[in-house]
Amino acid sequence: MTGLQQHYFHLLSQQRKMALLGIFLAVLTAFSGIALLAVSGWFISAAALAGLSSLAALEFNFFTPGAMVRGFSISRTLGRYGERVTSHEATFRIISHLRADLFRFIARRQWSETQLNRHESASRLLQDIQYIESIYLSALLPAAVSLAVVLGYLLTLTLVLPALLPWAVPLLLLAVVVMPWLYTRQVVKAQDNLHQQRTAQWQSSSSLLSNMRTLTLHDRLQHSGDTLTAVAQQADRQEVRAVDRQQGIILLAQASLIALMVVVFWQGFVAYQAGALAGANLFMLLLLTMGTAEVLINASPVLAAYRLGMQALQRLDAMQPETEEAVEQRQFTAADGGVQVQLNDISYRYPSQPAAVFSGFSHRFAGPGWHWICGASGRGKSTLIALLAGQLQVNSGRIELALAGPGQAGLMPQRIDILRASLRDNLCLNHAHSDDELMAALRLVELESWAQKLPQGLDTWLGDGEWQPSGGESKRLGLARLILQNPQLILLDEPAAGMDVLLAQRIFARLAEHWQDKLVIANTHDRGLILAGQQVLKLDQL
Amino acid sequence: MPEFSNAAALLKHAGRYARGENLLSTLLGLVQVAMTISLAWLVATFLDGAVYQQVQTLPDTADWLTLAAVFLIRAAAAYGQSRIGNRASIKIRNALRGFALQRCFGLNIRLFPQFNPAEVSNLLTTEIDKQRGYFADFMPQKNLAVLMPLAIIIASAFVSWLVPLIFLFTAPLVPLFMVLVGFKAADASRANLQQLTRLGDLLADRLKNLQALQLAGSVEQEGDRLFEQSENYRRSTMSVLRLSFLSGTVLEFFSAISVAIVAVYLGLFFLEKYDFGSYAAGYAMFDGVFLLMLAPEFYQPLRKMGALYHDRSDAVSVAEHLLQLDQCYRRQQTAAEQHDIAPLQTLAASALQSGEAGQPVHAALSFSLQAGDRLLLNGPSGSGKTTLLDTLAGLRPVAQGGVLLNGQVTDVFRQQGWFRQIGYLSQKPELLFASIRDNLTLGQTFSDDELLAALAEAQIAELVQSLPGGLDYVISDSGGYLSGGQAQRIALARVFLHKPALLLLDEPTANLDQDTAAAFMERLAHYTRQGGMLIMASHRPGEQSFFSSEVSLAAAEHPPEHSAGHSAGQQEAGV
Repeated sequence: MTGLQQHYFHLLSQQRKMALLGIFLAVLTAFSGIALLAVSGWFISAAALAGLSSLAALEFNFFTPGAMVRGFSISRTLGRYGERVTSHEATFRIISHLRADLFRFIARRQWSETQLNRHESASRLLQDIQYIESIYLSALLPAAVSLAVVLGYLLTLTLVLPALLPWAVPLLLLAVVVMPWLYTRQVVKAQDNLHQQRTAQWQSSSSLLSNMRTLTLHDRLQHSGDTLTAVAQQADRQEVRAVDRQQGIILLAQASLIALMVVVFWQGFVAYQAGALAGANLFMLLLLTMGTAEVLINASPVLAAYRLGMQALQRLDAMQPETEEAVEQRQFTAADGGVQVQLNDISYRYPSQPAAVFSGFSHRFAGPGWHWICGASGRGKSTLIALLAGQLQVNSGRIELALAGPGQAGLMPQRIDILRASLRDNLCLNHAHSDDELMAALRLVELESWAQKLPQGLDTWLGDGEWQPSGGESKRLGLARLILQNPQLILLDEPAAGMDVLLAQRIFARLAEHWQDKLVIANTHDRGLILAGQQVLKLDQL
Repeated sequence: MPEFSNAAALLKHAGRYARGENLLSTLLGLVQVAMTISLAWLVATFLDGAVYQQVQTLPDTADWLTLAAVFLIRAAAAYGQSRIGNRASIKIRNALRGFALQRCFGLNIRLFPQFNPAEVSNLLTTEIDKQRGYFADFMPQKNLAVLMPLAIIIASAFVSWLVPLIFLFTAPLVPLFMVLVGFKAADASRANLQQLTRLGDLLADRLKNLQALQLAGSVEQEGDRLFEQSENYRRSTMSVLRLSFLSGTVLEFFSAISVAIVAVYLGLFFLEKYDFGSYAAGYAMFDGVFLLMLAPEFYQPLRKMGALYHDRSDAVSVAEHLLQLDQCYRRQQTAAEQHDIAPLQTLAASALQSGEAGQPVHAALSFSLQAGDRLLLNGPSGSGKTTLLDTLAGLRPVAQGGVLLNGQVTDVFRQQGWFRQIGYLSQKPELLFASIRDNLTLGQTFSDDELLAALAEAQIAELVQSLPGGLDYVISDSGGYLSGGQAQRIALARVFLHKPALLLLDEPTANLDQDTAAAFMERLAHYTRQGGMLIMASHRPGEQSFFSSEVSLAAAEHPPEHSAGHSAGQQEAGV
């Protein structure tokens, strides 16, 4: 069992009271339902037989069975309600811990920027989390109910008519062991294939909607739509085929339970003729078996749900970032003589590309002050920032930062993530800042009046499905985050892209003053941002 | 296609795409209920003959086989129903995607910014994909939830008048209670709907935006907050669930209690405690067994439907999204009659305004261009440069004024003959998730040499050849090996390949570095020297000398109201 699997069961055992209560109530409900049918069946058969003679009818104790019938119908109803509430409560409690823990587990690793954003891996991850979340409700709880019902049924048979056991046991095993196993085989692989096809479908649809102009002008819209429809239909078919097969297995499970019902009823008649079974018990026996079968038909998908959840935990455990978890190679030294960064003979090559971006490159960025990195695309401007930020690690050479520690280096990446959260939370990112500080930071990037005009000011929610800042506004929010974090070393990767030229010039002139005692290293393709007295490193001239 | 008044009407209409399947499914449902009644009859006959009648008759082998067959037919009919439902769901989901796509195509780029591409993409994929349950399982069950109990009532009426009355009396109470409880639950969920949707996919959002939190060094704190927020989610969800589970409980209650009532009533009748409810002859054991077997089956279809109820609420929310799309579609002019468009020689605009009719986004402007001309569109962000370019491309109708083609006022809106003459480069290069070859050819046939020549003209041939697979390298959403500048050059190679008469460019160099931008402009000069005409929106001051003329966009006199809501930046941010 892997670490995460153990962790899941640990979380489950923390919630064992609620989880066990849910299982207890589910078992109670199942038993009440079956007993209601069985006792009703016995009661009316026995009453009918007693009714044949007036004396027997008079002596018949109808209070007990009447009370039992009413009692079971009440306990079935209340049990069902209690079971659903407690089992959901337990599930959600586990989910709360699970989500936080899985987030920490994933977040501690260094992911390359694209990896978690890619639809395929992101959707897989979320699907896996769903599988994990439903282990208790879809696997453990129904498994416990099935087991209890099987045992209860066998016990009743032993008491009423032990001769039935050799018939019943193999048929029950077929329904609750063999069929779930067969069912699982139809689920796990099919789920993988379907995920791949749905990903292709997503790509096709996303491609269509983000290339509307090109497709229209080249009269390819209809063609792309047809492709999307075809891919989607294929995925639908694949899904339906899998569901059909699963339903086929359920039909087989039904057949084995039907065999059980018919055999038990038939053997009941045989025993009745032989005088081994009272007439009133015949109907009871049939209804008991029918009630049991109704519960056990739900056992088939249980194992599959368990397997999917366990596999998901295993996959999460094995999930590794694309960028090998390289050991931190940057070296931090005391910043006695002011902040500075020294690159000594560094080399870097992307694993997937033949040529190195840097080989034997040395440079010194001395603070305080601004250093701009310029150069044509592909010369390594962003790579250099990523190396300085520790997002990439050099193949050889040394990067020395005279800095109090890694926390004193702040990076603004090219793509600014906007969380689905309030503007305040998006700026603070779990650090404490006063509203005045926030507004001051927004003022520096000319977003103060923008923020004031938002429907709920700083409490306005941003992100997917909420207020979406434009590309330029996102960049400025990224700058505001760094202003608030206030690190000693500030690394900016294409900070002005998507902003109006004049606006960018105003903002960077203001920041030049605000960050004058920091070491700022930024790359840009817009030389208009560079002020007199700031350093420029031209990568073309290497 | 009718105009739908609400989501339910749309779903109902969608259901018609599988009318045959639905009918068959209903028939199979009736087969099941017929088997259920036969089963009750058989069991009652067996028991009555064996233990109750004075002359004992025992079931023979044929009887046992009949019993097994009835059971099996019932199970097989249920299986057939699920298969047919699945087939229906494919048809209907396909029809819904077609419905959505047709609206998207009709609206074309005017789909944005009301909707963002990710939203619509999600509708076309995940949202519609997930409707199998509704169309395969829930929809066929809707008719059966009425027909099956009715059949049971009729069957039981043959032996008793009181028992069907008990059924009839409790049956309407079920939906009544369910509706009452359902309203309560809906109120509760509406009260914190926003909170529920926000908290529901918080984890997905935080994983998507993980980098910001990693950079801020606050991953552990975010884990703590996720826990708190999940706990809030649990509390609000449970307060809704506690109510909505009640409606299931109501069903459960009636289903259990009706078995109990029937059993106690029959038992006491047999014991001669009272004597009403039966027809003249009273009850034999046959009648008792028959009625008791039917009692739990009466509520079975409703219970099954109750279990599928969340499928319905999912389907309604998808239908609401489709409805929004449909309503937006109906407000726009979408059709255009095709007419012949002459090959472009001169292009002019006279007092042209673009935007929605009656709501132009910029003041009237005029210009005139000949082969080889290069026109610069000037104006700050939001001044309507993109809208104007889209209008000139024929993607939007003209708001006011006219476009003159070779001196003739011409309606270019949605003219295939005009589209063929246009090239368009947007700020973020439009590239399909497909091979580079498919991205270049876009359905037409070109030789590899022609493709490589076009790539060479755009100065990207070398890079493409070094990619794994070369021309067959597939561009994907992971970004892979292409930078923004490289993607822009592939889009430019497309222009050199198709040789449009007019090239429209929407700030194509905004994200390029100076040298790359300069090289890009040099390639554009090459295009105009070959006789191409171009119009480019830009605010790079260094590029002005490149153009032969310039127009500035001023705000329209009655500027449209700033669109409320959060759509302002979506087009840019959502792509």
